[in-house]
Amino acid sequence: MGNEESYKNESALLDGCLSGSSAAYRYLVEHYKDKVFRTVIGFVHSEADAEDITQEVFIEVFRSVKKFRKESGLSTWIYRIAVNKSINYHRIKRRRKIISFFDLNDIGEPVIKDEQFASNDSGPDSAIENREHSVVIKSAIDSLPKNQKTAFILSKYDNLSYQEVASVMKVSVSSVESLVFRARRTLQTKLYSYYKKNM
Amino acid sequence: MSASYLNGYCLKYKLKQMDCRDLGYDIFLYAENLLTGNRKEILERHLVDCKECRDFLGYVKVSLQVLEDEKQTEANPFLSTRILAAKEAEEQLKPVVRRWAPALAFVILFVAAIFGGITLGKLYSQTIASSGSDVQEEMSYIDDLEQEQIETFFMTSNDTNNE
Repeated sequence: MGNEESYKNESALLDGCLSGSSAAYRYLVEHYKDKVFRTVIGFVHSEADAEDITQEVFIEVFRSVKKFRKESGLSTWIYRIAVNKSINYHRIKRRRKIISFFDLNDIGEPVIKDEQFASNDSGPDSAIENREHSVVIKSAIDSLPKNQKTAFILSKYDNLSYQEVASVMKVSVSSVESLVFRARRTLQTKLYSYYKKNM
Repeated sequence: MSASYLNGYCLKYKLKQMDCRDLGYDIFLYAENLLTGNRKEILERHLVDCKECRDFLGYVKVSLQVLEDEKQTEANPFLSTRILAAKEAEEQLKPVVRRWAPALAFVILFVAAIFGGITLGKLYSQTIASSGSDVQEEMSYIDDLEQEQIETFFMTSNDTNNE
């Protein structure tokens, strides 16, 4: 049974998890939960859903840690699971949308907490404007193709280098550069057309 | 960014052919503090003269701030506890049960489908039996047609032709 210090070493942490050490698992969760949560929220834009998916990611990590072949780093592998789960979430969300067709308040536009804007001491107009900004940019991100969205979120939300993003996505660094460039270009175009139409 | 692209870009700017639309992407990069060098200078000079681009820059900055705020969202402090509890609950499920669960579910569904079919079939036959007289009558017409001898049919048709 290792102590927390030893788990700073990735292979010791992995060995701890493989041996079923609960201390290793606890360290893994504590160390990676914020990173996973940040990635997931970039995809789903809802705290509650992001927490559910983060939980699913770790359950998947616990289940499959024995199958982990160490071809990539542990964090890369965890990020990959987080991305896959987040992408699958959209599929599940679509299914849920069909089931709860009449409950429009439940699912729909990205849920934005009012407190997020309440901190601004400006008036209700500003809150509405901020809400609109939020919906526009998040919808623009959601409309990006899967690979562009993944590359953009990993580099923007998690501040991963292009090299790290490339390892998570299993593509070349130049592909990541191109994907992020195209994602920014698309976002800019969408924001510009929205701005032109409404301002 | 390639030198030829940049030269073309500067030339376009000097010739005053630069459209605000051309600068849209640079405005986006500028808002993210990612624009450097000549292009940054060109854009900054343009922004002094162009109110529309200045306004768009403000709009992009607010939009990007939304993402920054979302990035700062912290997970529930009890999330770790929740995850570890979920893991324990998962472990308590016996591996054998977990392994056979999909097969078991399939068998249950299969058996339910068979029983459902039988029940529906019985219900249908009861419905027919209760209101069967009309159907029976129709069936007898059909049967009458089928019982006609083929020789009789040909004989009848030959007679008609001869006439």
